[in-house]
Amino acid sequence: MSSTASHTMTDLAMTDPSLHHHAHHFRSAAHEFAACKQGMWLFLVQEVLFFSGLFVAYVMMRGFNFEAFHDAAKFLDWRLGAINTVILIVSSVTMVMAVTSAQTGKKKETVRYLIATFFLACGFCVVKYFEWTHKFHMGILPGGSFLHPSLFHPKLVLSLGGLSLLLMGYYASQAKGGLIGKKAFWIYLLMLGAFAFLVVQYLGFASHHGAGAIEVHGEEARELIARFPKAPLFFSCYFMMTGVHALHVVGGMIVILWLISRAEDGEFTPAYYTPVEMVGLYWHFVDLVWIYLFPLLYLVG
Amino acid sequence: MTMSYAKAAVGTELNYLNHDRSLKSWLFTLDHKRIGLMYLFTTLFFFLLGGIFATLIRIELMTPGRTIMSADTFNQVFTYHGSIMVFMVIIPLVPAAIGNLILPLQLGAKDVAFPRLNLASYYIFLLGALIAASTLFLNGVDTGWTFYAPYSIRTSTSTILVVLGAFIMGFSSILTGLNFIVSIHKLRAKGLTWGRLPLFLWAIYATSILQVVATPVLAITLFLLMFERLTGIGIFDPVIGGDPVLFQHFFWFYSHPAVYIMILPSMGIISEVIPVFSRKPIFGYKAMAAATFGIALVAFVVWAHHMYTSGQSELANFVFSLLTMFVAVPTGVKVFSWIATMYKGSIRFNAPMLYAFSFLFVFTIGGLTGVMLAAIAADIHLHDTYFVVAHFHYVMVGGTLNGMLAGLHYWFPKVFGRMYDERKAFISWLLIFLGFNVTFFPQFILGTQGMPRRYYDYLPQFTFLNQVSSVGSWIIALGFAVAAYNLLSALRSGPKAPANPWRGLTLEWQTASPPPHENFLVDPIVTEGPYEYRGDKV
Repeated sequence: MSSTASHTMTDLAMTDPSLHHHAHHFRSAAHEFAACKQGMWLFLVQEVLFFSGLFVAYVMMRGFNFEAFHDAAKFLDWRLGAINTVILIVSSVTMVMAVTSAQTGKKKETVRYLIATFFLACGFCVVKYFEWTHKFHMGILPGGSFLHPSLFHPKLVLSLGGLSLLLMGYYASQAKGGLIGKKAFWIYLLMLGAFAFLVVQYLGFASHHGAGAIEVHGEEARELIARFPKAPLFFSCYFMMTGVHALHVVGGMIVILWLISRAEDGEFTPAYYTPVEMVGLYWHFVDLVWIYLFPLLYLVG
Repeated sequence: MTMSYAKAAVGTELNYLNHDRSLKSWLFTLDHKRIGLMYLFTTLFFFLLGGIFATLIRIELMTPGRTIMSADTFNQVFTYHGSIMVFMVIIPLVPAAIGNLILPLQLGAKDVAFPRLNLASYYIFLLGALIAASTLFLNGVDTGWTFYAPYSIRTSTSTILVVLGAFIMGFSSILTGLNFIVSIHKLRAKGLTWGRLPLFLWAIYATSILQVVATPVLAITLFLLMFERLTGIGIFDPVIGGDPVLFQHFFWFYSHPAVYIMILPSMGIISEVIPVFSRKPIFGYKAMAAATFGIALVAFVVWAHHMYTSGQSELANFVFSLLTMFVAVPTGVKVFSWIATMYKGSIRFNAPMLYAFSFLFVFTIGGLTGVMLAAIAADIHLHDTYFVVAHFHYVMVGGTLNGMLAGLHYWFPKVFGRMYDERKAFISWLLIFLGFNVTFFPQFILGTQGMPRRYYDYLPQFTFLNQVSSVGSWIIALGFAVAAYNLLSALRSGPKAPANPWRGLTLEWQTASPPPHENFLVDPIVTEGPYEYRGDKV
């Protein structure tokens, strides 16, 4: 994702990062900005359609199993969901502040607000991590795996987490030397710590043998499924919806790190702050999806 | 369209093909023309692969019972034929390959709006295709290209990988559509107003909307199917309390608009070819553009006509049947407008026009049989028979492929700078046309007589027509071989093409053949519509 791949990039742009040379097929930077905005909105349209499939599935399953969903939702802690909602809303605010700072040429503030957004997103992921692992320990897993925990799920989730961190590290390094030597360098250390944590957890699961190797305290889950055999469908929806959403949050985090790196290099000026604006649009979308998810999943119990 | 440009086009050596011949310049190209070529050769390769599977199907169906393969293998063969042809050939072929080659030229632009995204879209497509094709060396797949639950959940074949491949290829489709929409909005040449936009671009626009809006629904469907197999989510699995018909709704919500993704660009090509080779303006330009969008709109509300026998309510059947009938209206507007365009025109029978003629004949049959299937009472009997198979091959092969071949021959001189041989083109056209009808018309009859589709075995009374159909498939294959030979030898040693061999009026003809790297030496300016064949332009 380096900024050097347009047709007629000159050395001028390479020496002064604030001199953005718009792509040659556009008439001006403003023309390019308008096109990028239209492109990002179209991308968000398709994201809406993507999530809509999950929402339709939820609506259908809930329509068929109304009481089962009501009781199953009690296993979700609405306070954790509310915390996550607040976290994301605040992160949207910090994101908007980042865009405004970039638009007015305030480099330090742009970096600060982007880092704040990134941090809040980390908080979201941490809360999600504990929610999910708590459920795994109760034997609550998607659909057919309900009360039949296999090592597959924790290991899969941990692997995805590790992969996300690797991608974050990679993209943070992309723009001109990455975060090395910059103020945000400590983010690398944070990621390294998180990665080490995930590796330890993964190895912990890998050393278990046989079925039932995950310590499961499944009394409540067993009681639920006895009353409502189709209750696991609720958790299928829950894991799929929050999982796909979390993947989008992580994707956003990766791109924000790339933005931090470019912002520290001074690439964003009042004449060119397109990437910040585009990521801002995306981030608001991610927030909006959660605003719909929260009541549907957490507030029906 | 008159425009100012430097007449240095013909005879200039440097063009987009030869200005840099290094491998790196191809692999990392941002030039939409090179990306279009990469799409073209990749999709044509997969067309050959899908065609081989088709030939195998027809050989197996020469006799009832076992001919050359077991029943399980047969299930895999038709699944691969369908999946390859749908996801790796016919969805990307006209929009991504021909669209990439021609769209910026017709816009008078230097490239698409997002060239890097364009290249990424190609590699995403390639990755998805390779992942899906890798299953040929693993456990295969035998679910049919529609992956219906619950069988797709239970089968022990490499379903996840094929579905993953299709999922990834979907993103290529979405991003290409996004790119084209922004290009058409933001990169039109000076004077190229919406009312002067060539109909091919209107078609690409409508197709791109379908790609952006419908494909994500397929993506989530396949995503859910993958996780169904991985973790047993259960929303499609009756054992856990899910609903397999829900899968069908999800699947067809995309896959019906998908068939319009397949046909609209080809219709756009026909709208380009007929005016040029009739030396007449298109009849009803505004109605044609509106009809294109009418078809795209109706495409979204008819999906459950694939599900009349799924057990859904009579009301649902009634609603979807009625809505499906409506698509015949804009389609009819187009067919009649094409015919009216030719009326009192000065027809020239070059290869593109031959393919346009066969398109009109074959697509009309396909479309009319679609209306027959839209009627519930008929469909109850014809569902999952060879009547349906014949219907969709008539519209997809007869329609889309004829349109693609028309476009391929029409723009061949522009893209490659060479003229193909008209006599060989005529022979290949004739073989394809005859072979196609010999292959698929008997299947209408077989369907009405009750032969089910996807069946390895059949009643003895169906043998003769099956054999006729199989012989037809060899004739088509021969036709494509001749076409391939014609075009490939033209690439090597065909006569050099002038900038505007067909005397067309759209912008792509106002630059050299092949075009220079930046498309136009001077930014074109448009002063009139794209089909103004009047006076000295006839």
